[in-house]
Amino acid sequence: MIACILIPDIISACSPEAKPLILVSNKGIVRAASLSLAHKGVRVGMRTQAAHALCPEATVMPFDDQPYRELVETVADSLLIFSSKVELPVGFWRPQRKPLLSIHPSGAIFYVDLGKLRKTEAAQLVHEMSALLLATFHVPCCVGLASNKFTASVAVRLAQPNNPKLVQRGFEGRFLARHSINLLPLDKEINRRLHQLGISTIGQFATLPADAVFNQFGKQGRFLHMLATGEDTCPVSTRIPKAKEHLTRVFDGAIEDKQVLQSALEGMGCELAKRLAEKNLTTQLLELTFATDDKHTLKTKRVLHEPTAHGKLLGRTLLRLLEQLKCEAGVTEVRVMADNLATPVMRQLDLFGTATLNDNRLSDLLEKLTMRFGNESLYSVVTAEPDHWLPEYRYVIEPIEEEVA
Amino acid sequence: MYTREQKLQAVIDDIQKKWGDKAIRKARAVSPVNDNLPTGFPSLDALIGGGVERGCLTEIIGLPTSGMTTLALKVMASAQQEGDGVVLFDLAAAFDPAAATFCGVDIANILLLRDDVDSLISMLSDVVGSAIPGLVVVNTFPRLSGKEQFQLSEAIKRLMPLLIVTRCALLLLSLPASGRSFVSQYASLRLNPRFDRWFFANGDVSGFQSVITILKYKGENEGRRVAVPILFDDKSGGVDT
Amino acid sequence: MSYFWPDGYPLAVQADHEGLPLCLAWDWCPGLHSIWMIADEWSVDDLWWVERKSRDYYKVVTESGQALVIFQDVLTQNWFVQWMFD
Repeated sequence: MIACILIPDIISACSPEAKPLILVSNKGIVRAASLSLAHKGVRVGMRTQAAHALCPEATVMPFDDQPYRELVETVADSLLIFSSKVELPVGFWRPQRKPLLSIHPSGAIFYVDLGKLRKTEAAQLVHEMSALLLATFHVPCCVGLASNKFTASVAVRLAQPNNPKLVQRGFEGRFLARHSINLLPLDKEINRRLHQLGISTIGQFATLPADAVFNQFGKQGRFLHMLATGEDTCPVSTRIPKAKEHLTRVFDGAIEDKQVLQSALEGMGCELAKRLAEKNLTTQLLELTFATDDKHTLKTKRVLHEPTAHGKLLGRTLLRLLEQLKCEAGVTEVRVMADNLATPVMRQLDLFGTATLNDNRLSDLLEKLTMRFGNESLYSVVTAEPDHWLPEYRYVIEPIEEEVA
Repeated sequence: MYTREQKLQAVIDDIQKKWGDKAIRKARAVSPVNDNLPTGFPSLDALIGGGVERGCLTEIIGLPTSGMTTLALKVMASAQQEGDGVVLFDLAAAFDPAAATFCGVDIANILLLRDDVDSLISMLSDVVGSAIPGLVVVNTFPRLSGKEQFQLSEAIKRLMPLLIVTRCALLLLSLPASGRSFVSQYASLRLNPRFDRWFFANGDVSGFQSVITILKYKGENEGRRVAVPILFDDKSGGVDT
Repeated sequence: MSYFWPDGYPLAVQADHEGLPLCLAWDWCPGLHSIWMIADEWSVDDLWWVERKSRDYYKVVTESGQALVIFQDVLTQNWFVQWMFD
């Protein structure tokens, strides 16, 4: 049994405040909006002023899909407690060429393979899943249940929150028959030809002989015909969760003294190192989040030159992140997240480790120059996020530092 | 009757038998050391004896968007391919890692020096004198003051014997000077790339043609010109997914 | 690209009534450089949850034969050069 889970109002869950959200492009066009606003007439593609007039209490923010991507990944991870086979379809809300993004306004979709279950057991599991998503992410979801992915994806369109739609095994073809042909993943040419033939429902397409469809439309046609007859054989892919390590420190009162924060961060660096060492892991990305007493959240992250589990290095990186945050209010909570976890690769220790040069002879030169002139003028280049939209985040040019012994 | 060749071979065999293979051998049996670093443009290399010469000063004089930096990056890439260490004095603090990668430079293995002109000049002799890097690039762009030019030319003058001893190639990038170039007398090769025309692809500028004039060279090719294509690695507008 | 300023290098730009750059001046290449062609343009609006960066980018070619990628910070309206092709 495969469950197709649709979260129609995923955008509201991305909102930093509990208000409806309008995401606009820099040209002042609505790119996405909370579902509640859609009921008030807000549409993707309308001008911001018009949308704002329809719903003045909504928060207007520039469009960015990063919080969305982070959220859908977290939701997919949380679904892993029900099954190891959780699929987050790619190509959904993904950025197109350059920063121009196309938004699918219908929200986020996940597929979960529940294995062999009876009707009542499946319904019970779906109920638990919906409850978990509502409690954790405050988002209602609709669920379609069927024996394969395509039928489940069509079933979810008829589902309501708290009322999943189940298509029983053996009845897939009959269920699909009355739906529009446009629900099949048709390319333009096949779509045009099917419409010319007067085929408008999945049922009409399914009644065509399989051989004739193959002769007319080739391999793609055969695949579509299988979907139409309710025989989707595509499996739900297994999700391997990204390992992350979280560390949180909540203070009794708001901390404004920088020195206290510094010592807290150094301590957290050591604790994080200890946890990573216990699991024989290293991290290459640190994210620091502050919750302040004026109800704001400040967040920053840093990619390390090399994966490490060294307490002092982690502590020092956290101190640098602290400098970046420029926090003016009192801090009530500090959260540290270590990402990109990996098992350490053994290597020979050398003098200059954090931004070392692989060329041994240049390392010798580096040593000589550092001894004579200090290391303020010596820089190395590290590839950070070569696909980042903002060019300054693609590479890091930083002063070379001495390794902490 | 033995020929002279056969007699010579007999003597060589005798010596090698007695003292070992390495005691004597024919000169041509030793593979020649590549004394030049290719520029990555075969048409230019053909005119300048295979590329930028080791142990010498090479000056590239050009305006912005002349292909000067691309030329330097390609020489850096070929130095790394030959196993040489590369040091870049980046006076402008505007090194472009993306362009360097596009030109074939292993950016993880270059040493970048950024500081004021005084400090960099004092480091220059240490860098060359260490005999570690095979190529040192000094980018003086955008422009040095008169005093700084004098200091740099004095430093380079002192470096010349060191360059010959260490076989390090020194590449100096500078803007065309109104008068006589401040290091022209020390340079064994001087190149002057100039923008010629744009290349277009899909309504966008994809690169340009640069015409490189050989201003100074020991061979007969001094004064000759060669056209080379400079292509852009255009990931500026974000990344296709 | 051969020169790259991660945070942008300040630039003086004269723009037309639609906000498109007409000519630019900066201390690296003295003089006023008229823009011959805007080869490409795009916008980036990112990091709004940390420190918003909203920029209108233009890949321009000047009449003096320089190719640059410049941007206008939408929040401050200041112009910067981020790349110079060389």
